[in-house]
Amino acid sequence: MARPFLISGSISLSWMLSPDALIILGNSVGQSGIMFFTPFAIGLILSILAIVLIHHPAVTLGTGNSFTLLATSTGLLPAMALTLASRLCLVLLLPTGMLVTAGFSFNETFLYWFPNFAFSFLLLGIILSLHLIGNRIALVAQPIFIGLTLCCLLLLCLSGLFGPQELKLMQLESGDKFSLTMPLVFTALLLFLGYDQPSSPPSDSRKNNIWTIVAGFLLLAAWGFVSLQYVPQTKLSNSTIPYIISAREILGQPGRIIMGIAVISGTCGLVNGLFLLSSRSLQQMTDHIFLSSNGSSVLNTRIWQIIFSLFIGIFMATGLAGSEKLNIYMYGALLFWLIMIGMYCFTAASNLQKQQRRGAQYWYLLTAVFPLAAIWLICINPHATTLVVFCFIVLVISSTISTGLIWYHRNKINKSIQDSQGDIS
Amino acid sequence: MKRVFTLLIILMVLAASPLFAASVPIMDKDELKSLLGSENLVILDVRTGRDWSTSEFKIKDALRVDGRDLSVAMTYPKDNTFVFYCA
Repeated sequence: MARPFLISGSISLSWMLSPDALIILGNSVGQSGIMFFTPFAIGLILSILAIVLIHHPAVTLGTGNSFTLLATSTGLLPAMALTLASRLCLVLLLPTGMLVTAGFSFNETFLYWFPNFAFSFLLLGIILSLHLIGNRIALVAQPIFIGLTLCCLLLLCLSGLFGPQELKLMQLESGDKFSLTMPLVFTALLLFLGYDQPSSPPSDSRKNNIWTIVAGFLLLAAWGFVSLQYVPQTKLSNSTIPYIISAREILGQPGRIIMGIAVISGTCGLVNGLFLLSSRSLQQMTDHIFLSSNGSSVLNTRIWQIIFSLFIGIFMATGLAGSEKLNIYMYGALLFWLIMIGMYCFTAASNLQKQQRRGAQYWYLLTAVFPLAAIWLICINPHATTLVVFCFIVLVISSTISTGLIWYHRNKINKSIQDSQGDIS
Repeated sequence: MKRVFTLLIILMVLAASPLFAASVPIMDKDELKSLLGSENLVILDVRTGRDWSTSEFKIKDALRVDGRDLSVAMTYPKDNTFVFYCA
């Protein structure tokens, strides 16, 4: 009973405990000080509401093929285009960036002579090998990666809280402007991403996902609080590596080493978790469209991990990591994830409305929060134009691929789609 | 087999490519440390993207420039020692 919870919980936490989530957290607490915890808590409440809706027992998004439900409420083309855009951007861009981060962390913290790039490729190779050996091995490895990251962060938090540093609760600067709160709520929403996957057994998805993000919230809140105690706010808000600076201030060289381990295991957890999450989504999509007559998948699940690794390897080798635009693209991928959750909420809300559940229409308000958050975050981004162009190009490409696939396999499209769409009309 | 052989040759050529850059002197960190503080030393940090942002090591007083546009180096006297920090 505990093992499935650990596996699904660790997949949900894969982004939340990754180095880039720690950067967003560090910069945000640096920007607004202790004030950040209010929008952070609001973000948690909104995310819990999204979990309650997405994993509603009457919606059964978690029990069957979630792509089927998405396709029946939004239409096949939008569902395919968004799934491709969201999952492919996530699984290709986030690992590209974070494997490089792990490479630098290893090189600068542990072995100076070992090339950082070689280490990034080594990690990618190890994770691909786990998937090639068997999906079961990759699933078992996930709680180990995330558990190690969690322990390291917890150790640093406890050392910070009970360390020699005197707590300076009253000295904390606060950006007490309401104008700051709204964007921070939306930024906080980004930190909780990862709960859109069903856990095992699916009937426990709601409870498990809520526990997981509450645990993640407590840990990140503690880390943000400790960081504020040890590092000046300005330094935190401007740094590209706030997590290392905080760890170094808390425990010195041992702190750097502990954070180095957290970064490497967190990166492994993120890459492995996204491989599992994205391959599952894409598998559900292809199953829905091209399910063979005997009901078996037409594509081997391992093919996805090979494709992902190949592209990530090409991106790293061609120098995408050295491009200033990678961070913008990664941010775009997170916004697609946010929109995807909005779409899942919409699907669940429309399902509840169809079942004439009481108060179902109020859930649409929650549905609106996620795309609104994405639009707001684009507007306030200093690279808004590049971000819009990136999102537009990704949507055009994913729509074109989706249209092509639907057209090419128009005769083979699963009959159940038409049946289910017929039911709706 | 032919493909594997071709791939191996390509990999060997790629691996040997740094040899072609052997004419550019390489400075280790101890050598640079001994020069730090001298007036005619110009350190240009040409790392970009994540190579720069996720690295913990940023040399004090280094100028961060785009590696494709080194026009800033022209503003210094030619007899200065230019150190390019790229990885």
